[in-house]
Amino acid sequence: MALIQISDPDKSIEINKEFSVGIDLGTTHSLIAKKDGENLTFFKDNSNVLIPSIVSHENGKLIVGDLNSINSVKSIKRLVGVTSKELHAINFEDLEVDSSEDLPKVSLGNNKYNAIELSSQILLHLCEIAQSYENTSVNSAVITVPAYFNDMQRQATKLAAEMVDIKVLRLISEPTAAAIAYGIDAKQTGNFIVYDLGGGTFDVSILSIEKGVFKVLSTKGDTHLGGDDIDRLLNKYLLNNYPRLTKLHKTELYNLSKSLKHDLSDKNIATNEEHNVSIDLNDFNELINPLIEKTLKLLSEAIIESKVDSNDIKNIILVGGSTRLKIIKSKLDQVYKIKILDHLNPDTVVAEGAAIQAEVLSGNARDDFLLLDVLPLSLGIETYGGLSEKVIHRNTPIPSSSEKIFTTFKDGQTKMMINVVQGEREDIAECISLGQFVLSDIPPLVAGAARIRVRFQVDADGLLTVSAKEDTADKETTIEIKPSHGLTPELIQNMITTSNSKAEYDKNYRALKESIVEAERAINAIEEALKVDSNDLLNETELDLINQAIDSLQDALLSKNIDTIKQANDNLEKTSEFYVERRMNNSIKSLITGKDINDII
Amino acid sequence: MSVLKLTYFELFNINVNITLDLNELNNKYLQLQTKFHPDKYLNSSAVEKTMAARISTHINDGYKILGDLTTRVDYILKINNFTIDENVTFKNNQFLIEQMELTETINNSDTKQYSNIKKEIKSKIASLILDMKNNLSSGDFDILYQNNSMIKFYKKNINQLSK
Repeated sequence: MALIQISDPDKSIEINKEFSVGIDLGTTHSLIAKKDGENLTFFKDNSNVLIPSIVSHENGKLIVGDLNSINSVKSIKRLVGVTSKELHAINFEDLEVDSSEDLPKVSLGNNKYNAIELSSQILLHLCEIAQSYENTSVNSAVITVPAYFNDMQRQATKLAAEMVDIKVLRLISEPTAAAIAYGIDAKQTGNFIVYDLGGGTFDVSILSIEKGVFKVLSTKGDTHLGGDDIDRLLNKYLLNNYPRLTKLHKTELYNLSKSLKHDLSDKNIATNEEHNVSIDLNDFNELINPLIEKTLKLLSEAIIESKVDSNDIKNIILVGGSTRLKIIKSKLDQVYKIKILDHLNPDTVVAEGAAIQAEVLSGNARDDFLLLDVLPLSLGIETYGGLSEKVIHRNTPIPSSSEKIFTTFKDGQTKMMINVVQGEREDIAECISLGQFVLSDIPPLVAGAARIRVRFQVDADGLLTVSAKEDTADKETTIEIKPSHGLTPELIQNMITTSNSKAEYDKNYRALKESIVEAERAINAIEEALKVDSNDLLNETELDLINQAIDSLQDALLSKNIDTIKQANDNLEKTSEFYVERRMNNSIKSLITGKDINDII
Repeated sequence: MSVLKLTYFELFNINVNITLDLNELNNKYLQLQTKFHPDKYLNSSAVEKTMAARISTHINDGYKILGDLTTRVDYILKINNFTIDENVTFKNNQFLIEQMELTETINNSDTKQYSNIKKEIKSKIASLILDMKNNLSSGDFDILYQNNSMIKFYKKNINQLSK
């Protein structure tokens, strides 16, 4: 058995200081950053801030980075949270996908990996880079996801992080992160457009920011619209105009297109002498105009959906390397007379916002800052006839809950299949199924007599829990599920155990450390609270009970045994639950003025 | 009793009324969320986390319902124990005929006339709101329900005109 280190008292304070980072997990590249007061650090890989989201297989190992290897996987983000059944709706040009199982897999070396496994490799690599700078491992992170990522994609992203022992403080949407990066210094209030044209995807969001509160009013996007598409158009153009280029290797052609494109962000004509090709800005703009028009159409749809008058929008925030293209700024200027914000680097602005939010959430920063997010896509249930009955509509502030009552379709029906779906369309075929479960033991009644309450609860990350209850008969059946979409518990367990990220010893040590931190936190919180209001809210017996529970947890801490600590911690939480509840109720007193609290509680 | 048992009006400390000051609602909402949002409890104990998540959900649910006229009125009916039999559809033949005529008018007019039609509908809604205020003070929940249902139809008309 491994010996467990006992740290000296000074070190135990170190335990409490978390190393929290912001991660922009992108389709083409990813970034990792840390904010500490005024200091913002981007951790670099081989002196690059932009770390390619490419996983390669070399010498029996998975390596993240652009090795120019043939045995590599790009743009794996496109497959995150997508089941094999949904592959038809996805365009994943460069990936060779095996869809024989629920979760699609791609080949690398002699093995096949799903998108969660490969994403976790990218996350692990990012954290290792940060670790090499800071000499301590990453505890927790805020990870950004596209605004329109559905529940399944969010769960998959979170799982990828958990697989490599990164605690996810919060998933936030990329445009929101960008606005945080711009908003926190200026303390701005108003409505904003975030226009994000990245390497592989386009996102546009209308945000309302007020007193440090960020609300996403609407989002629109296209998962296949970005710099890569521009490169592809340029490739085609070059091959049409210079047929001799067909003999170039695919990568060479891409690099040529990329360098021409970059030159055109500040020149009127781009020339490459080696291959003797050139293109002028007008031709280039004409070439990519359909793509830009597509983004503008999505932007105008987002504005309509946000119900905000475009005159009431303060700024357009530009995000993503592709927004360096001149045509974008001039088109936006033409259509909307709104001031464009572009003084932050569009490549790093999302990671910067995530880092700021990580600092706030880890408790190391200002307390008055709050990010209020909304549900990105409506959640519903399949009803008879293949239609979706929405239970929680998109753009509802989260956390949120809602309940709908459903009934049976046939006489004597005792079972009901509940299919949880996400999406805006009425037709079930246009929505994504998050999971199905069967509610059985419904009492046999005439059609329409049974009453089945289905309750949706969405947490602050936008993740869903569904419960169903039959309440016609005296018997009550409750079933609670987290939509799984192909991520069966066995599969998750299997992925976690086979992930070779951390040695077993390391994991045990870490778990112990975490239980100690958790316990110290609980003791600290209760003791602080007792100082404030134990006289008002507790009688002597109650106070004694809580103090006893604190004492036994403190004794348990000395044992350095994880089970003993956890048990004592659970005991303290159970013992103090009523007190915490009283405090919460009481704290509303300060907010509700003009009424005696006794009148309402 | 806990915060979770408060009616949304009590939670936001706003008088029960058909109309309300949306700015005030918004301010109260932000105040409450700044206090109870789960983000403020990430470093708290598990009990506090669960409580905060529940209260924050309650605040969001209330904000959603009080923020919109028709859902607000439905909620007022609910807290006054006025239950609506879901199997009985809205029956006001005169109004339904008016609706059919209105739909026809909308279909036959060009977009230039839309703003005028909208104005007319909005003035009808305004007068229904006045009626509903009286219904509430006199406790005529049945009529309150009928009037609210009519507003729901009018809102659909306006949506149609805004497309």
